[in-house]
Amino acid sequence: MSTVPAWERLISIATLGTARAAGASDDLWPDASIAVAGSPEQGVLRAAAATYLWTHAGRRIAVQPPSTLVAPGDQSNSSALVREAAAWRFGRMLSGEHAALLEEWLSLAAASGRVLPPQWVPVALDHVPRELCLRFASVLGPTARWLVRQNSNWAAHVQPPEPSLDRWNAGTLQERCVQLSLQRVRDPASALAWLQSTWSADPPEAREAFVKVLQSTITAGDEAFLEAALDDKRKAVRMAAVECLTRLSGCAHVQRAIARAASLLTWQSPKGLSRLLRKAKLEVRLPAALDKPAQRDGIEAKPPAHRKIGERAFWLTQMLSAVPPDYWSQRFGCSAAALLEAAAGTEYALDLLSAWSSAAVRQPSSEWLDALCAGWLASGLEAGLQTEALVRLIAAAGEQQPTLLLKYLRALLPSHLDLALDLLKQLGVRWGAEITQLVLEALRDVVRQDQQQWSHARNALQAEAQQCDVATARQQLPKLMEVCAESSPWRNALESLQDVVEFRAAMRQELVT
Amino acid sequence: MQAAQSLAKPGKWGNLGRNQRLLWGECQGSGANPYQVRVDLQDVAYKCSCPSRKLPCKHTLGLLLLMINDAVQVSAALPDFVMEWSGNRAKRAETRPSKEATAPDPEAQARRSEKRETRVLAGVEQLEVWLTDIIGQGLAAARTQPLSFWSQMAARQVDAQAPGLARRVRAPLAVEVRQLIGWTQDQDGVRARAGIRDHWSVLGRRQSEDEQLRTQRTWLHGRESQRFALVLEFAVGTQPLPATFVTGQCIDAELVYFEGVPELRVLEKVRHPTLQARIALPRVLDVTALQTEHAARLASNPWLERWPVMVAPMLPIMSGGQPYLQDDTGRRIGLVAGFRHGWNLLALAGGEPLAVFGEWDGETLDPITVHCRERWFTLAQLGELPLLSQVA
Repeated sequence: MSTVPAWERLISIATLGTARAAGASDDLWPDASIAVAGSPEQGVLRAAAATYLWTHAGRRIAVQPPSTLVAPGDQSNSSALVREAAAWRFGRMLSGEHAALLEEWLSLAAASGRVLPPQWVPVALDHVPRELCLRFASVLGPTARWLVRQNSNWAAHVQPPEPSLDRWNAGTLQERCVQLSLQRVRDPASALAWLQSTWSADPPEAREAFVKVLQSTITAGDEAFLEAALDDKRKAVRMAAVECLTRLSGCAHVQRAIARAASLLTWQSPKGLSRLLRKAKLEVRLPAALDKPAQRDGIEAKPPAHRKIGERAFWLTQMLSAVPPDYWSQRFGCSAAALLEAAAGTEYALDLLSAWSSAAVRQPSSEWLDALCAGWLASGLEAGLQTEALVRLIAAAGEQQPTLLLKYLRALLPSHLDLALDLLKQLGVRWGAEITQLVLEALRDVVRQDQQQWSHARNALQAEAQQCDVATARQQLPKLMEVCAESSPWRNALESLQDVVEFRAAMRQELVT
Repeated sequence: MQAAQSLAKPGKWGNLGRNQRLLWGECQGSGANPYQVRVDLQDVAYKCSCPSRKLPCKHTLGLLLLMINDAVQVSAALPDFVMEWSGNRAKRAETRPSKEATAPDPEAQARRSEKRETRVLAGVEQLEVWLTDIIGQGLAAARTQPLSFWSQMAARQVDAQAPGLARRVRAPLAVEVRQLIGWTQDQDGVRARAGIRDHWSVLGRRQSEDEQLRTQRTWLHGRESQRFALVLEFAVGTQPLPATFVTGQCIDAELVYFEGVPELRVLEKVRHPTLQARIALPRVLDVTALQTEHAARLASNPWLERWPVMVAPMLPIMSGGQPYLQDDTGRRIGLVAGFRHGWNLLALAGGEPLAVFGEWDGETLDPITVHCRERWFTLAQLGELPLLSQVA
C-alpha cells in the first residue's frame, strides 16, 4: 500500500485524467478483495465509490480529552423565566420590529423579577446594546455570566467596566475621559488625584474635557483644584472650571459672585397701607466697570457680535447668572414670583429672565424654577425660545420635575399642542396617566378640526407613542379614532400611534400578569 | 407579519363573520374594490382576491389575527363570495375520489412502465459514457467547461425520465438540492396497503424551496413501533403547504411506509381523533452506536445520504468557534456546515447534556429538535436571528 491516502490518489488521477495519469488500478481500491474489472475510467469511478463508502461506514471517532465546561449552577431554578410569548416578542424587537421599545421591555422584565430563558441569552448578548445589557444584567441572569466564560467576546456586555489607572495614563483622550468618569463614580477624591497627576503635561483640549467630566459629580473637595484652573492659560478650560464652581454652593467663587452682584439690584417694598396702592419695585444698576478678579471668575468683557446687548448689560447678566437665585428672595424677603413680576416692569426684563434662568439651572430651587417657567410663558417671546427655556428649567428640576411638567403642560394645553409635544419630546421623560390624558384630549380637538396637510405634532406622534401611559392611551385612542375622518391626514399617524400602544400593552400583559 | 398586524383592526374590515368552519371578511386595500378574504379553518385553506403573490397574504393573516383576538363575531348567513368559494371547494373535493374509482388499466400501466425503463436505461448509459469521458480527460479539463456542459446532461436525464439523477448531476452546482426523488411510487398503491397504527410523535418539520417546488419534510417517531417516519409534502407555485402536523404534538394515526431500504417515507392513511399525549423520546444513541448503525444502513443501501437519529446524552460545546456535540465517552460529532444555533444550544444545556434529534449524514449532524429538562425545543429562525423555540 502506498503511503498517500487512497482518496488523494483517486483525486489526482481524476484531475489529470486516466489518459495521462498511469496507476495500478488495484492499488486504488480500499481492499483488493472487492476490486472489480473494467476500463481504467470505470476503475477510477468504481474505486472512488467504494472508497467513499469504505471510509464513511468505517469511520470511528476517537475519544477527546474531556471538556472543562462547568455548569452555571443556580441556572433557571433561581427565578421565574420570562414566558415563551414574551421572549418571542423580545426576539421580534431584536430583529427590528419596534426596536425602540427594547429598553421598556427589559425594564418591565426586570421589574417582574423574571429572567430570560437561557437559550435566548446568546442572541440577547449579540444584539442588545452593551449599555442595556449592563443595566439589565438581572434579566440576562446567571447564564450570561456563565457564557462569558465560554466566549470572552461578550465580556463587556456582562461585566461592568472597571476603571483602570493604566488606561487612564496611556489611553486616547476619549478613553481617558471614560476612565476618569468611572473612577469618579467609585471614588471622587482618588479620581481627582488621577487628574492632578497628569494635569501639567496634558494638552489644553484634554484639560477642558477632564474638567467637564467633573461637572456632574462636583464636591467640595474639588474646589482648590478648580480655583487653580481659573488661572489656566486656555480660556475653554477656565470656562469649564467656572461652570463647575457655579454649581458648588457655598464655595469661594459663589461668595465672590454674590459680593459682586449684591449692589446691582435693590428692592423697594412698600410698607404699611401703601402696599395696597403701590407695587413693589425692583431697581437695576448696571456694573460700572469690570475688574480683573471679575474677569478671572469668568465674566467676559465683550459680548459676542451676534448679541444685541450693551457691554454693561452683558456684564450684568453674567454676574447674575453666577449667583444662586435663592440669595435674592431671601435677602429681599419676597417670593421669586414677586421678584419676576417686578423685573418684568424694568428696562432689563428679558436680561433678568435669562440670567436668573441660567442661575436657577446651576443652583436649582423649585420655587425659582416654577416662577421662571411662568415668566417665560408670559414673556411674549417666540414659541421656540419659550420651549427651549422651559426644557432647560424643567430638566434641572430633579424631584420636582413631574409636578412642574404637569403644571406647565396644563398651561400650554389645549391651545399649544405643538409646544407641549416639543417640550415632552426634548425632555424625553415618561408621561404619566395625567399627562397622557391631557395630551390626547388636546389632540382630539386638533384632530377633529384639523384639515391641514402638515402638522409638526403629527410627525412627532410616532416617537412620543413610546412615552405615553399605556392604559390611559388605550382608553383615549378609540375616542380619537371616532372623531378622525377616514380621509383625515391624521388617520395614518393615529393608526401607527395605536400600533405602538397596542404593542406596548401586549408587552406588559406578557411580562406582568 | 408586521403588515398583517397593521391590518388586524376591526376598523379596516367590512362584512366580517365566521362560523364553525369558515372565516371571512372584506378588507379595504389600495384598489377600488375591497379584497375578499375567506378561510376554511378545518382544512387550513384560504383565498384572497388581492394580487399579492405571498401566500398567505397579509389580508389573510390579518383576518386570522383578528379572529385570534376575538374580534370576529359568529354569523349565520354566508356572503355570496364565501358561499361560492366553499361550494367550489366542496365540488372539487367530491371529484377527487372519482379519480381513484376508475381502475387503472394494468396493461397500459405496464407498457408505460416498460417504456420508461428503456428510456432510463438509455439515459444512464449515456451518463456513464459521459462520466467515463470526463475521467479520461481529467477533472481539470472538465472544470473549464461552461455551466451548460453540466446542465445539458441534467436536462438529458430529465428527458430520460430520471430526474433523481438529473439532480445529482446538478448537485455540485447547487448543494442544497439534495432531495431523493426519482421514480415516484404510486401513492394510491401505497395507501391501499395496511399501515402501522401507533402514537406518532411529531419530532420536527422543515420547509425548503426549489425554483418551482416547495417541499415540507416532517419527521415522526412511533412510540410502540420505535420507528422513524418521514412525511414529504410538496406544493407547486403559489399553492400553500399543508399544515397537517405540528411539531411537539403526538398523533394517533395509521401510516403506510413507501418501499425503501431502509423504509422511511410514509403516507398518512388514517388520523384518529386528537390525542392528548406528550411526545415521547425515541431510543437514543451515543456516538459509537450512531456510527455502527449508520455503517449497517450503508451496507444495505450504499446510496443512503442521511438518516434521522436521536443522539444523547450529548454535551454541546464550542471549540475553536465550531459547535460540537460530545457524548459521555468523550467522542465528539460536528454539526452541519453553516449551523448557527451553537451558542443557543450551549446556553440551553448550561453545561448539562441534552438529547438532539437530527439527520446524520455519516459525518455531521443536522439538528432539528432538542430535548432538555423534560422540554422540547425546535430550531427556528426569526429574520436573521437563530432561536430555539419551545414546542412542548
